[in-house]
Amino acid sequence: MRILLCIIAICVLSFMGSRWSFSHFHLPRFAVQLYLTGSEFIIVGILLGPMFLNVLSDSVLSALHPLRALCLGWIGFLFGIQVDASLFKKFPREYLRTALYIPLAVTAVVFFPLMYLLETTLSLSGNLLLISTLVLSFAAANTAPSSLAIFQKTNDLHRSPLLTLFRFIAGIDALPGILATGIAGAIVSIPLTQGSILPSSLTWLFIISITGLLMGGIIVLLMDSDPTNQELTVFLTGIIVLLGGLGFYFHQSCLYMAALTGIVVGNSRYGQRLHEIAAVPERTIYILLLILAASSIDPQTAFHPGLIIAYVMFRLAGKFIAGSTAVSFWGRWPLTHRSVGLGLISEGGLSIAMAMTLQQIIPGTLSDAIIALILATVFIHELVTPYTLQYVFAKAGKL
Amino acid sequence: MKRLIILILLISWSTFFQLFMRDYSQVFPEAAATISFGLILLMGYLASDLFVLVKLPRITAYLAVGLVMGPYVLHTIDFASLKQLSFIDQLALNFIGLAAGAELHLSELKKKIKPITSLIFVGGSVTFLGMLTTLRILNLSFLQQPTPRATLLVLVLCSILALARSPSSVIAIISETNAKGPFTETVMGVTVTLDVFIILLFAIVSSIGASILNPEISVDIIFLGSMVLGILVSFIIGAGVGFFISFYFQRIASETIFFVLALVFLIARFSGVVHELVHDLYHIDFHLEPMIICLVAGFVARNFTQSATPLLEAIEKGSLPVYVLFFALTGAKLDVSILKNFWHVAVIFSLVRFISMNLGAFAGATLAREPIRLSRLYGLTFITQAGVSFGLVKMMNAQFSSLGETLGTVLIAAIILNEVIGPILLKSALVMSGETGKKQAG
Repeated sequence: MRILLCIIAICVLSFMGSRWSFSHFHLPRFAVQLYLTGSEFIIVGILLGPMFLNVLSDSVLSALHPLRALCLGWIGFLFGIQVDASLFKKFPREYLRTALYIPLAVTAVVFFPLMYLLETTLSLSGNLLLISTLVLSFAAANTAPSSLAIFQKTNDLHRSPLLTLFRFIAGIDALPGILATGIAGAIVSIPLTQGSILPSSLTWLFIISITGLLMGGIIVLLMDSDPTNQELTVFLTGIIVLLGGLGFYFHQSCLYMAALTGIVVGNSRYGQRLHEIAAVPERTIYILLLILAASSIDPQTAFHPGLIIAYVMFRLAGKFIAGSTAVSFWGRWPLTHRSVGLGLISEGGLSIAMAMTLQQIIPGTLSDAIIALILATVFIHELVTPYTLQYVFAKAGKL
Repeated sequence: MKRLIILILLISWSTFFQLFMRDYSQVFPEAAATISFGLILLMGYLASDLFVLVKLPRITAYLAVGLVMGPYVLHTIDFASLKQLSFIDQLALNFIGLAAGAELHLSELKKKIKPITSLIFVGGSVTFLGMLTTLRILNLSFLQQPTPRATLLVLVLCSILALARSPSSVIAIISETNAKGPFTETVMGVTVTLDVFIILLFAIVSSIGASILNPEISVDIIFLGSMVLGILVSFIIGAGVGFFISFYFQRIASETIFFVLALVFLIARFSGVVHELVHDLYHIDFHLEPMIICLVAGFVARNFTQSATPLLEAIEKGSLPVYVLFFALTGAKLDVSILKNFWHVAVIFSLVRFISMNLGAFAGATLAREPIRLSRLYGLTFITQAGVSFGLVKMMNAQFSSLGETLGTVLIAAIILNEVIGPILLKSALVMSGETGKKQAG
């Protein structure tokens, strides 16, 4: 009974919340940012969770796993469908170079200090330490496009090349992180072959990659027979739910599989139409994800303040160093000054999805701590993003 | 052709994954249920295209996919997954109820009130008497009871059961064929209204029957009273929900399809909560009927508010996945071994029902001065049976265990047969009436 009522409560909160929170309010800049990005649902989720109202108790959350898998798959698919290779040709080559360099540089900066920190604070070792560090450092490289869009709209920066570059980077910088979740799942999964872990992991990575690509191919094949929008929605839901279920079943990354499916579809001639269809429930899915992620953690034990502060600092340093070194290597164009990386601070749904995927791959208290870490940093980064963007654009003389 | 290729690809791929899954079954029932959910949606949708090619209804394809993938045939969907996905049944039934209510257009119904009344009362009586007489004459072994009174009770219950139809199948077929017109409106009006009567009638006869079989038991007036009250309260709540739907569509109008699905689900759960509450407080089985609530809500929102168009659009958007999942899960639950063992008796029973139903419908329609061409077709539209009929058999088995297990089993077999054949006949009748494809044009 409670499970069913919770589904309703979550759905109602989601679809009504998507309307209310994404509309404009006259509030301080940081509060507007939180409202517009829907980050307040992190608090709603924590309140609904086992520590407070206990509406979403542990057993309820366990039963809601299919919904969670659906949300993760949908977010992965939406990301993948936006990775359109034909768009790369429309932008200067320097954009692509910068967009590839910055996330890798951020990851490189964050990786080793984070590994040390995870080892000391959460007592991690071996594969768990490796995959946690891998996913978290790649997640640190990720930028939320929604914050950039809000800044662009509120400051009327529609023709700013710097903001266009930022949005270009934000459109693809989650790709290494999503791949990292795929690798993480392959490493810790059930062994398929005897002996060394490497053949088994590679086999798993191959299987899930083929599955993701095959599903994309199947969708494209279906598109050739000109289905209606309603039929497409059913088919797409079926594919995403299936990938979500498989990921959950085999402890693999449905985010990775769905992203691959999205990439195949996005680069077909039907990409635009499918993107429009998949984007319809985007806000609802995003809020559902926030609520489910936040309610699944125990705030009293999962939050490690030291770890959170250190991660925020590592990420800030990573973004700054990545931007600064890019300017050193290739000059001030298209970047404008050395602290330009601070404009890429915002963090959102994909980082949370990566953390939740990690939880799906390695369930337990460790992944709860990682989700708490990401949720806290998303909240902090959304608070500071308007100010860092303001600073970066003022320094570039664009405001 | 391409869809056939996709279907083959998906089947091959899922077979490949099943090789892995076998070793890890029972570990994650939620995960297995999620996979089943996805597979049903995909296979059902794709297979329906193939069925359409051979002029069969899509819901027959959904049923077939569920049946084949279900625990009684290929076991791709196991019993645990079926249990995990049982909430979809409730959600879908209420959704279909809402769709049925929203499809009923008051001004059209007023025009067809005469044939609807005639088909319900005259048609129903002729069918009932036809069934009763024929079954008495045939004297089938599974109907025989130790006493003449018990035999008569069984005959009456079976004849009432034969009157039950499947509103969900009717709505799904009408939606699939885009049928619109006086014939369609009459079929829907009769099917929906008659179901409410059948539930009531069956409860009354069961209650009286129990006292006939065992004179120590008196007719349960409280049970009957609470049943009537439950239906009345359901009507009132449904009207309130109809106005609430209108408020939402006019004031918020956001994520409408999610709203509709959440609402129908909430209604189902609300009914359950009320039942528990009344039972705890007064020890009475007071049941609200979620489907009636949704039906009335849809009817009120369509006919008494300004929200008819957005409601119909939202229902249209959500209908395909709901139908695929609902009918495929229904198919998965069908125990084909019952049909295998009792097919010959089930065929006789269904044949008697078919003839009686057609005679009754023809008599009712002719009396209402419906065109002779349509009078011949009404009987074909009333054959399909599903959820309500299964529910009635379950009720009968629970209340009259002394009547024997074979009776219930044969009736289930007959319902399965009607569930498979009914939609095909219904679609043919709608096509022959010339009202298919009118909805888009109109």
